[in-house]
Amino acid sequence: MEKLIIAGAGPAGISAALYAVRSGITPLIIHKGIGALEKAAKIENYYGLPDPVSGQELYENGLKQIKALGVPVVEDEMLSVEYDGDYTIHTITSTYQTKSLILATGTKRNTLALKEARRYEGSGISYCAICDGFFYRQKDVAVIGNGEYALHEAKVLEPMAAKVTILTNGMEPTFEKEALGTIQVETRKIISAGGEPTLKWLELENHEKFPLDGLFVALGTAGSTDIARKLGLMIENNHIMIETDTSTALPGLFAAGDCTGGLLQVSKAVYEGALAGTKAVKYLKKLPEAV
Amino acid sequence: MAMVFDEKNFKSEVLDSVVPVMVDFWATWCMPCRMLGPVIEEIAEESKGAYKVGKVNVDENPGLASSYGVMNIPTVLVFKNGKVVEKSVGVVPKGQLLNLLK
Repeated sequence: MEKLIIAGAGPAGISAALYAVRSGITPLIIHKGIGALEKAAKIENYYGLPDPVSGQELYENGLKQIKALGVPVVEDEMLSVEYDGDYTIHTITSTYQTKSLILATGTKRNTLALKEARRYEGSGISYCAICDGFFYRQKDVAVIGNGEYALHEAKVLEPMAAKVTILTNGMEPTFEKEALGTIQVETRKIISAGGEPTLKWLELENHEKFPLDGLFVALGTAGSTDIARKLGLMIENNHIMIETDTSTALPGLFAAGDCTGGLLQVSKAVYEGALAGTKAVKYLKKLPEAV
Repeated sequence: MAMVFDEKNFKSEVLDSVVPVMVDFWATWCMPCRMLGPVIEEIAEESKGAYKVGKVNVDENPGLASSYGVMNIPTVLVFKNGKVVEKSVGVVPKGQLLNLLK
């Protein structure tokens, strides 16, 4: 059992780790490589950098800095998180347990680009296989996505549904194909969706209709917002709603950086990360089995 | 406290109710439902007879969920005069749920 796990190694995650380790708790960082910083050719609007550095350089410096303090860093992809008093984190290669968790994996740029998406939310489109798979017993469902996260959601649905198809929407599948089992894969692009009163078909790029009863969204990797939504936290405009001290409705769970919305800036991520790291340590020190 | 609605009492308690009824469709294994639960209880506590609030366990009452097109949980429906007048899916702020009763 870990005391504190930080998901994400951008400005928010690394700052959280810095403040936690300085307060006496060595966290474990789980991350999946560089995030939004990769696209920043130059960081010009951050304090104290007269000669701008690239996002890549800032990210690498952050990792170097935290490793120098003895903080363990694991490169892996988070797939799901469960809460039962402690947090259980499933990644592609392992399972971790922790008393406290800071979500700082940034915000996803890829959302479901289907104009009918909003109309079918609650009547055929779902963001949570484990919550809503129940309603699709012996029905045909699809998962939209092309990574391990999509495969994970498809696997949750496989025992319940009659048929599960992963729709990669024109993208190359990046998941382990050996693990598919009875799950099918459709790589053609999706143009539109329809059905009355609930979702009944998708139109593929050659105008062929793909019949289905439910569509589960699992684009890209399981981001902080996906994880938070499944834990029952409030989400607004695809961002996690946090208190001013970065805490959430779940004890010991904090969120920081781009995943909480607002200014998508390094400065804001650093601030929230610092706060989350400090608050997580405070939370841990108040636990009955104080650390 | 929020009432418990099931296939037996749904007609008398919900459909035939003279006051609006808020119905929370949920399941024990659904984490977002467990997070919304206390909010539903708070709304129930504050009703003072102006409306009713109850929960339907979809595991025990799959027929009710399917009759009302519930395909995600938590889903909150508001019934007036036996008809669904409002629907809310997912974990939402308390104020948003209270607005459904207005």
